[in-house]
Amino acid sequence: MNEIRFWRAVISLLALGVFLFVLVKLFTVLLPFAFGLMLAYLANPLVDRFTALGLKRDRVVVVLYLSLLTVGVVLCMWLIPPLIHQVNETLASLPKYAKMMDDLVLRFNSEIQRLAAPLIGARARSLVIPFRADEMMTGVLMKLPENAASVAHAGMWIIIIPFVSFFGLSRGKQWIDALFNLTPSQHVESLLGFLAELNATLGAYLRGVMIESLCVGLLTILGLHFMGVDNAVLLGVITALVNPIPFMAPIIGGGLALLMVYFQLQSVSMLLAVAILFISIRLVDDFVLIPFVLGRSVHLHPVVMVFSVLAGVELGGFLGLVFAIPATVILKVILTLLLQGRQERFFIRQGHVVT
Amino acid sequence: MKMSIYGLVKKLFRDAQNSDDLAFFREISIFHGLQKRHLGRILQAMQKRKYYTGEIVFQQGQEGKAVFVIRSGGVELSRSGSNDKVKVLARLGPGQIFGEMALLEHQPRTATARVTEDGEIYLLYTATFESLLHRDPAVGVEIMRNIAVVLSALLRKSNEERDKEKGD
Repeated sequence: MNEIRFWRAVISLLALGVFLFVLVKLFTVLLPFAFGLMLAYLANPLVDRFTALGLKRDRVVVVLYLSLLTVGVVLCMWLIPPLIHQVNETLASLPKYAKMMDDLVLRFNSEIQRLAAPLIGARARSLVIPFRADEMMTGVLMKLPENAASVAHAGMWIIIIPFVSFFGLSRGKQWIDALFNLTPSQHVESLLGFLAELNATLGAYLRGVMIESLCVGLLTILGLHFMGVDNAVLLGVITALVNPIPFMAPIIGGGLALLMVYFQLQSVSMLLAVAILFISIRLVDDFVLIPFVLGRSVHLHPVVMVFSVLAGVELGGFLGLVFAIPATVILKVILTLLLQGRQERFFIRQGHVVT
Repeated sequence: MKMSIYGLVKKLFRDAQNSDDLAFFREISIFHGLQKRHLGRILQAMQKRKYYTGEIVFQQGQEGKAVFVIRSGGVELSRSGSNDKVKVLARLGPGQIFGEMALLEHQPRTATARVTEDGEIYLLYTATFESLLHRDPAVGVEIMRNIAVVLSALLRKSNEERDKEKGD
């Protein structure tokens, strides 16, 4: 019996190893498929609401796709022209902004040297911030052909992702039913529990984060627009995109907005107003959006979040960054269920009622 | 003309399989009196698995995490006593529910369920079921009332059997 268990464990480990090897090797190929399935998963409750009324699943999905396409076209007509205009405007103003940034750094360096000179003498001349905005800009421009290739690669994703999510949504629960049919009967209840817990936590978390980011992005656009800051839509979109990463919305979004205000208006009161806007959005996010939208989903400690994001970046670059938090949520659900299972087995052995 | 467009839309969108499933679930004791949309939601939360003769659905003493509804085929519930004697408690068929005690308390299973005829069984995780009930307390009350009726009937049957045994 022990020997059987040993060989079963060895074969399971080998299978896991082969699976991980294939996953790593085909990571970039599998990614758009994973994104497609993730989108299908996120949209599934909406389709379920209609199928629960007795409507055919595939027809509901077609109607949903057509509606999304219409909304997407309208949204693009409303959002894309100002976004393109703002990106072009920013690109055209980059040399001017770079010069202003260099002047600012130069002034800052000379100020530091002036203050430090009485204390450390001639060595104060070595106190400089080694940053040249024009050099950084040249570096970015040199990498443009490489980035253009990435954009072309992303073009393929635009076709693959909706295609995969369409089939994912059309089949719905049939995927999971097939998985149950393959699972030995003694593990069916455990698999059912795992999938239900995962769905309750990960699904709520991902949907919550999307709604939260959308709200933060919209508040940023509206706030900056009413303050008369240039490129409000671009800054809002960037803030919404970085929002799922802890602390990044105020740091990257707020930082870019402050720089923009400095370049555009050079007004201390406006800088202060933008800082207050980002602090207010952060407070609304912390005390209204997160408790309301994410309240019932999984709670990850900010330190765990930051660690998982850093680990994700280290392991998989940008893609690791995207998948870091969902992977951590899955890991947390697995650990919680294992721990819960151990506790329940302990109480059953002790003859107690399991609560 | 209006009716024909309605008829066409209905024909295009109506899921006949779903209607059959709902009619099936309406006949199950614990779902009596529920509206179509509520039954639809419960159906959405369920998984379906094919079971083959001889397969064990769950074992006595195992943690109960799910409730089962037989769509087709048959299941036998049996219990082994302290003297290792196995007593068959019930033979169940399509439309019957088992493992429902897991909905009320998280205790070890009191019987073993073994498949006696190939078929399909719906599974519902208890925590998912509980969250459905919390979302719609009126449905929760209706289902809990139905469960109480089922348990009351079981208790009455058990008392009658005991009285008969004492009489013998």
